[in-house]
Amino acid sequence: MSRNAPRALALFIAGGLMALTFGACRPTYVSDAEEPALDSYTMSLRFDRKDMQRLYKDNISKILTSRVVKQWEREAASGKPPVVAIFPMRNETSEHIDQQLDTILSDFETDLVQQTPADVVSHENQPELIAEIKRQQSSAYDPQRLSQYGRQLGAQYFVTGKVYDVAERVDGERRVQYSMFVQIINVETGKIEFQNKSSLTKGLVR
Amino acid sequence: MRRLLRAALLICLLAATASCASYSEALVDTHTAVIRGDVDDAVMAINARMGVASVLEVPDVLEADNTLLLLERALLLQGQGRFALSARDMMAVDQRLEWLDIDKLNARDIAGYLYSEDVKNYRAPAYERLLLNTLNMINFLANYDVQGARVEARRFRIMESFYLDDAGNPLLPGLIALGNYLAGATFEASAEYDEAARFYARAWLYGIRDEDLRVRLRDLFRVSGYRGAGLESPFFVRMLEEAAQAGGMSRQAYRERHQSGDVLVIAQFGVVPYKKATRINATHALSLSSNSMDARSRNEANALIVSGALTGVNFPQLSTQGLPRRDESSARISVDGSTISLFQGMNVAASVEQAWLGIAGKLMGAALTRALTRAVIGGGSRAAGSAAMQSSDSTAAAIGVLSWLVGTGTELAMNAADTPDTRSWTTLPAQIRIGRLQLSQGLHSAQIRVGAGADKQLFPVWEDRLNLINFSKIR
Repeated sequence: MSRNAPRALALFIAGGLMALTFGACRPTYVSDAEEPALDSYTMSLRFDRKDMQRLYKDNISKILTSRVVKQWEREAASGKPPVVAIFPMRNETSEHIDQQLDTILSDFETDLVQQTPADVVSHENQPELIAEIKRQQSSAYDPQRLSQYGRQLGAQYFVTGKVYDVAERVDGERRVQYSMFVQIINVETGKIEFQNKSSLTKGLVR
Repeated sequence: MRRLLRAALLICLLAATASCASYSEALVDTHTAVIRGDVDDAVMAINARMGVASVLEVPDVLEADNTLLLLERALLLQGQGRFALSARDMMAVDQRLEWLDIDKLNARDIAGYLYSEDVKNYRAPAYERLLLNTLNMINFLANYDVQGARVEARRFRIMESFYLDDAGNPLLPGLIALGNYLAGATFEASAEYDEAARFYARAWLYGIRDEDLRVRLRDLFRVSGYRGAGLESPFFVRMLEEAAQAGGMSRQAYRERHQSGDVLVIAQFGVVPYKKATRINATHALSLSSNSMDARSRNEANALIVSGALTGVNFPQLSTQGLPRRDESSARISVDGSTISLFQGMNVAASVEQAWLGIAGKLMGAALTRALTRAVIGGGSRAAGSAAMQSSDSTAAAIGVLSWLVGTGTELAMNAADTPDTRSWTTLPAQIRIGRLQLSQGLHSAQIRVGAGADKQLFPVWEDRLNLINFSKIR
């Protein structure tokens, strides 16, 4: 037996024990200024900023060039700009994405204020209404209730939507296929004046 | 030579000191606080273990035990009535567990094979995984957030489909029943009666048998015309006939009959059995792991047992020591001074025992295999040392002595460090029971009595909502 063998064995064992004890690397806080690629990582099955920007862009140009917005311009030109309110989107998915949906609606709200002649009722100033809708949920979206909320807010149109998903888990992998429908609804008639579908898929794969 | 001597001494020292407390040993004070109903103390102790200053914080890293500790805290926060914080913790754990479920090739598995299962990231068993979404529905419903509860109900449905046996039947029918019952209540509160009928029917099918549920189901069939899958049993055939004879029912009539001042009372009491680190006689361990080891490993283990090199195995045994004795009838709830009847939601303790029986042999096999590997490493080093000790060269003989010491010390250190994996969701209740009643709009009071303990709540009832009252502080 080599003279160095026991020493090598001892060092190997001691090193192994050290690695098991201290081997995990420590996490560090970073910002997107320090790590420019930070926003490009997908970290969950929910919506991140990149997803929200994609969904926003996919919808806003279609909203702004829609027939109903042209109609608002005509109404404004005749001295009667319509009152438009943002109405929470229905989350019919298996992921907690309510806050992200609210963010997308807030982005729509900004553009509706800046780029259309409509009078927009502030989204943030309706906490009681939003709480009520969260409680009522599905029944909050039936035409009768919508009309009632519209009257409460003095709004003629609601910008809203709904998101569905097909969530699957097969062979140790997860996939969520989202379908988002953005709508503009005439409060009085319940008619859907505008609708656009966007799709997005997220997964957790090995 | 001096350095080598130091290394040998260091390893022997490690052997004497390396044994660290298992999860259940480290959490014994928290566990005791939960049993005596001192939830505030238990929450503070868990915060300290996670290294966070208050319940407003979630640990930056959900590695190792932090995932499980956060789950323990979530349940305690629910008992305190801090439902939004409890939901936040459960959602964080849910996301983490999902990641761990997919990440099957965890790098630390190799360390776990040789060293201890306890160093690996926590992987929740089926009953904990399903209870997570079930209990989080309670959080959202208690906060009147039906949308959030629906998300949890859908997540439950995905997970539920994952835990089926080869014939497609659920592995844990009791848990499936409770999850489906709460999901049914969630969709009923959302006025989605098709979905409510589907979930309630599954709740009935898997074991929740209550007259109120039977009548709700019949009326849901009347209002929604639901005729989905799973209604083939004679019970449902009769019920569908009964619904057809009674005729259709309007949504308004259903709301007035079943949902006006609808109150769901949840009683969670007792504490589930926990895993306790135990030293098991090697011969007994080998008999328990009969089906989970190959013939070669069994022969090796046998040889080591006979030679006296393997005497015992560290093992996480399921225990009820120190837990309060609770059965279905241990909790009484009164609302506005009148006792209400409760029906079985879930016998969680029975599910824990059932899950344990399913894995105990495999766990014992893994523990024995680790013990064997360590014995072989230590034995190899000792054999090399013994050979060198026979040498006529005095230096080589001295090295042989040290090498023998290193081998023995290493084996001792690794045995001592092989902390049995006693991790489990220890704060879960042993029993979950449910009460359902209708009350007038306004303030009401409810009281629970469990053993010598009692807890009281004043709660508002809204006529047009599902009102959920949860008791889980007194065990």
